[in-house]
Amino acid sequence: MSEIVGIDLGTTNSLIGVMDSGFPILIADNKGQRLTPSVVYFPERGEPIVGKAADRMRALYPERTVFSVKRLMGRRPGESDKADFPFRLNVLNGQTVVQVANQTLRPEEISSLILRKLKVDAEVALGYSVSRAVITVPAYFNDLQRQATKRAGERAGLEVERILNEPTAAALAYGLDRLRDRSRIAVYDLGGGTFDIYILELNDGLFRVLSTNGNTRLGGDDIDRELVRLLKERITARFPEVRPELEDRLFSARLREAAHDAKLKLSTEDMVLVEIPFLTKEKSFTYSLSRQELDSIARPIIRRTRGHCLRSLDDAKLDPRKLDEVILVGGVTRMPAVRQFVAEIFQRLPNVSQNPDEAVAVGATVQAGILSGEVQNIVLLDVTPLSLGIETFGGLMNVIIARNSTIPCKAGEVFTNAVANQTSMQIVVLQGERELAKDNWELGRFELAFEPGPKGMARVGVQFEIDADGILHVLARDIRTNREVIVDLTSAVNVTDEAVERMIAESLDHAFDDMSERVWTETVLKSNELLPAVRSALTLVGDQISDSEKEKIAALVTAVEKALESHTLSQLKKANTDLDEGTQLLATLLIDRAMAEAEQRKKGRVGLAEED
Amino acid sequence: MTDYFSLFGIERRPAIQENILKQAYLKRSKEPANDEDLALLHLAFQTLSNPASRLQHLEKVEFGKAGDKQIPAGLGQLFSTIASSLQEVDLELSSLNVYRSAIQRAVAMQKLGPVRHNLRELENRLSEEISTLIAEVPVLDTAWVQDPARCREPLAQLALALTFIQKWLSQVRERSLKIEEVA
Repeated sequence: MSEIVGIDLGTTNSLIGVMDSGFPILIADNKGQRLTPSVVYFPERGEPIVGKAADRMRALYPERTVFSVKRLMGRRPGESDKADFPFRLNVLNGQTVVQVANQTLRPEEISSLILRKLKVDAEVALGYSVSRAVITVPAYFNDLQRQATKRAGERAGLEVERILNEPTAAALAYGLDRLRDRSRIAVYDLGGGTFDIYILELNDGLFRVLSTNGNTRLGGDDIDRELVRLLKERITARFPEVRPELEDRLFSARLREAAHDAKLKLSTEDMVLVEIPFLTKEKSFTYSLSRQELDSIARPIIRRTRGHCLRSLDDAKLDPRKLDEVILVGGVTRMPAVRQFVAEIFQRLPNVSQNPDEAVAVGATVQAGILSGEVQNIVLLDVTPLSLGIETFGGLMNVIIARNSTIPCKAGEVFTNAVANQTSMQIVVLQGERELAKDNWELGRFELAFEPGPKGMARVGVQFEIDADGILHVLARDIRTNREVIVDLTSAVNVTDEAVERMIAESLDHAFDDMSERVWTETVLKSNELLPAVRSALTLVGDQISDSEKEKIAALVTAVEKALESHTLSQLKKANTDLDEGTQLLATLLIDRAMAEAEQRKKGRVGLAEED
Repeated sequence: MTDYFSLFGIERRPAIQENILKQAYLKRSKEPANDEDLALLHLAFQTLSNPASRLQHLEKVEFGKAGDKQIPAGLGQLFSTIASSLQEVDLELSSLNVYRSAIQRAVAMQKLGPVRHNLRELENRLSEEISTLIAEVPVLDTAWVQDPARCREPLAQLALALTFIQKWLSQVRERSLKIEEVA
């Protein structure tokens, strides 16, 4: 038996597996469960509880039960994230931390508790101790997030042999039985909190990733949140008196659970009854939600994966028709609306033979088998998903390693001094695809000193190396003196105290902005932009929506107009937001229209050419 | 400077058989190696599979240093067309990004038809240009077998033209993708 385990450390659920005489086996805990919810409950006294038991505490003790912590890994304060956690977040040394009662925990510490539980479960099932692991991360995890994951593993007593990209793992799981094939596969991975798309080529036991793309802030949770919003609307419509209750965190947690369950059921049923018993002391709420209604909520969210899919095909220089297979990963891909969308983009029906919840863990286990020598004749060539570079003169991003470069890889460039008698150069390491340095993720910064001289005299070589885990090592060298700086980016990561103070100051500003005149002007401006947009949208596609939908929008428009007259800022802000959100469906229809028109134009042109 | 051609055991000349290069690469990838060697292997394959970077590499290993990096004279016209079109597109795109509501963006999208059309035209034009240049590679290759030294200038020109046009094409594509993403 292999002594390396494979772990899928998921946002919502985690799994662990091991190779058993050439086959990947997922391990169940003592209750027979293979899926461990990635949830940790911190009781008032005693040890933290992980998994299903902790998940049950979520509704009872929302402020003591930590979930979806993967979304916080490597995240810095101030970074926008729509996730509204019922537990408290805080800032420590420039990092987001979780505050439970009087305990302050870093996200990786919480992850390590989940990993430790998986390790113990595996040890109980296997009867020997486990100390080495392969852990998967979303392909789009940046350097900091990968490092945090590695540290979480180490903290749980596991030597992390490899950090593996999730879609690669899924492909490994899928491809194990078709090793001799030559084929091209797309992996569409829509999980609870992240989206990844991978294009890869299978070639005689060699998995070559051609391209990858994705978004770390897009997933099924977004659908749940929109569904909760819809339910709240329906509840207020029926019981106007319960409005204050809706803001209650405990109640929100209950509602979220109901929404999530309804979403799952609607993958196989056309209609589901959402029940919230004892909404108030004497009233219960029921609502029949149709799949159609869910789809119209989910569509704009699913559509956000479109650009990523097109980009990955473009990077792989591949026409969708050249693909041999599209596989689905992540629980959300059970939704018929997602399957239909995937079929449209890739022009083929997706392969659904793999269990979308287990594929990643199975693949991690296969990779563990490869590393321990149990599985032979498979080689994996993965890529780095994000471009890496440094900031150059004028605040621009200078790419040193382009995205989708096969790893491990190494590249460097020589820079010189822009000003005479400069004695040092500041090197800012960046990750991302944007042209301006400030729009990318800063991984760290450091100084390299050199001999002063005239402009253009200094020669500084900067070398980037990405290892097989996708982790970056940076080396800078003054070529004239051979003075070297090897940078450990983990230590270079922390944002300076000053930056943190600024962020906090900004958030304070935000708290007071309701008082300022500027905000009122801006809010009015937004209304004045929104209203005509909604009107022209109604003229263009108004005939495509139901009368009740039209009435709803008309009411939202009236609310904005009234708020404008009444001169109440909070009211206007809310009316704007409501109108903005209430016209999502309309916006989707409009975009469909624009797309259809462009297609028409394209066809018309081709038709003409043929006639020539 | 490592000769990437010899790394894969293929002949050092402008035209190569891509399937032979790929087979050699896949075979070498399966052999056990340290990170350093693997990194070199990946870079070498990437360089040789793209005609522009392959010709640049050939120029470097054959003649030492690479020449001029200016836009070739014959491409000046094309460059200004591309640059001004891209500026227009960027303007449209940035005006889209100003909108904070989905509905506003969707209304503005209705006007993007001509922009998308324009981008597609540019893409076709550049792709054609690339095909024309790629067709010159076998011609250069034949001359190369006779006398590499005399091919120095045409090689440099071709490599440079391909590099620039590929870069512009990817910039045009980037804009098309950005429009798709707004949608």
